[in-house]
Amino acid sequence: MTALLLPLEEKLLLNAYWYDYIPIAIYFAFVIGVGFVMKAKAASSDAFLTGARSLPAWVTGIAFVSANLGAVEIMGMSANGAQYGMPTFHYFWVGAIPAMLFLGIVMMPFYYGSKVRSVPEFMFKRYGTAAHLINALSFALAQLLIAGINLFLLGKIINWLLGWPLIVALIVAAIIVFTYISVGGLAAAIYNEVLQFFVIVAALLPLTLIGLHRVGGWSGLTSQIAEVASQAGTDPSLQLNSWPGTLLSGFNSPVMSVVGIVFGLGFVLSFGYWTTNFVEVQRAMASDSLSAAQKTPIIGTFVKMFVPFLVIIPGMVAGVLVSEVAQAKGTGADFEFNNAILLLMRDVLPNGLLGLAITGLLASFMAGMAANISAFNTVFNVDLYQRYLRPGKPDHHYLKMGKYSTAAASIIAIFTALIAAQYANLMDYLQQLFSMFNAPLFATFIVGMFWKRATPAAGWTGLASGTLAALSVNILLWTGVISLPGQGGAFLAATVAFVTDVIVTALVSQVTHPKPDEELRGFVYALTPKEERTDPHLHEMPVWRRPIPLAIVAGVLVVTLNVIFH
Amino acid sequence: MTSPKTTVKKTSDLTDIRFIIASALGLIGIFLLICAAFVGTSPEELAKTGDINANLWSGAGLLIVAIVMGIWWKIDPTAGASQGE
Repeated sequence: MTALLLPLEEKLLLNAYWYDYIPIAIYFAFVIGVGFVMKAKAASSDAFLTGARSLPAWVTGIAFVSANLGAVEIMGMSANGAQYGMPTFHYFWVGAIPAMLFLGIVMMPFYYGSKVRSVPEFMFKRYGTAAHLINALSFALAQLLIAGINLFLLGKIINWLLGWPLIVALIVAAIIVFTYISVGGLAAAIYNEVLQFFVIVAALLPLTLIGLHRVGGWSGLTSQIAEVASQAGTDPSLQLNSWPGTLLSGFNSPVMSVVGIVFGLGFVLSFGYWTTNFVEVQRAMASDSLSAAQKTPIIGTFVKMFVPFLVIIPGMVAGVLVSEVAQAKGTGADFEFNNAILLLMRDVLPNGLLGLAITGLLASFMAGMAANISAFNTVFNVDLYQRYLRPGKPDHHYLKMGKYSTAAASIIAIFTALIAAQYANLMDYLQQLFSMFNAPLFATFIVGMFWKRATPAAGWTGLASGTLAALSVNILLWTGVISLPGQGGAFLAATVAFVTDVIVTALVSQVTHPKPDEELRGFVYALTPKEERTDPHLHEMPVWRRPIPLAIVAGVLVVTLNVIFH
Repeated sequence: MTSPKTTVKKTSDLTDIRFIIASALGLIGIFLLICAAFVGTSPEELAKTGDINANLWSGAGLLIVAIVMGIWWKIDPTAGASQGE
């Protein structure tokens, strides 16, 4: 137990001086200050939980990317970059951009136009109570769990970098998040995500540039990677070309690998995640108009497609420049690649800039947790408390409840973090379990938006059977009955879940009664007049500020990036 | 004190996200410039970065971003938040 509470590292990973704390202090003063600045704008429960639909698209667009730019993205993707090199780009260019554009163009008019306050509320209006409960409960539970995991990673990094005991780090971080969300609501969370984004870029851009300078630029980097790879007896081109990415997909055949990446990662996995995950969609719902909501993920793609340069390239540099990482790559020894970016910071950043880099990491990890808590808040209050537990109360009652649930979620996150500290495997399994809801959710949403015959009974049976299908495939994978290398297992589970969901939804709809047409107005394509699906002020905007032209530019840009870094 | 007429006209306000970003990045930029002037110029620190005064360049970069944000905030008060209320 004492080991759990005080796992003090004997040796700190980074050698921070007292003045490295200055940027950390500046940043956190602003973070808490933002909460109080936004206080006046969070005076009703609606404003507190939904940001009162008041933010411009560039703010929500950056927050959309930032909410996802947490520990997994920075540490995990730089680790992948160090280990596998350029195929890691696919997680961004194939695994996010198409789904984000689809969300903006196709799905956002329904989410925003129907005036629902959450993704589960859309589910309620379209499919009724049973499907709503499955979605709302699984989402709320998943957010508490993931908030705890993010908090644990944050505590661990504070422990490593600054030497604080884990439990102290957990409590301090939870109090900071609680303070600004309970005072400023969702708008404060979004503002802080934007601020966090700028701080992360300020931290990672110098790291990338100095790292590249040290290895002799891009050509120096590629020739050194080739050298290390040849010494280890592996094919350097696997790391220096993003396609066909056999290291990533786990398929040996190049054709199968491309198919697997495009359909598995690019379609079933990423569409399930980006289009139905309320943590992301909530950022768009807080924007001030339908076109701004549509542009939120589209503007987000412009940011998202350049994030890999700030996380993957430092990973690749660490793979040749940091002696521990290069050695592990050369010998194939067991190594914690997640630390690659930290080790690179240690080796190339002077004190001062090192403080800013630590600030960036803390900012990123904390924003991830805050995004989970603010999304949990909305779903708990809008979808569970107001709808089922205590409907029809005055607004100040719900506003107070919103603050209580923020406190409860922050405290639960501390306990989840402590469990995560002790049972890492359990948390992995639980996270996988919740991810099994993604692909079927996407199937149920997309069928519901385009097929008015899909019935309430079909909604929940489709969801349940799709999730069970994903679970079955995963059990077969865990027990080793079927074995697929790399990401192959995840691709397979999501595909089976998606197909099962669509088939069950179609079959059950044949034998049950759909909702009457008038109740589906705003929720199904054919029953929603075009005026409700388009922004009334769209024609007043210059062409380059409209959603579809922007999406086309984003699409062309990402294809160009793929061609350059093939 | 202020007449209702003057409050109708939207002016740059301190709760605008661009002002917050500009001040946070500006302060961190100044901090890095101070670091560049007083610490981190020893040979072993310079060896880390490959003979670049990284604090200087990063600090200058942050200040420029902060100034651009501040100018945007000043000349277009409405782009940071909705004009509602």
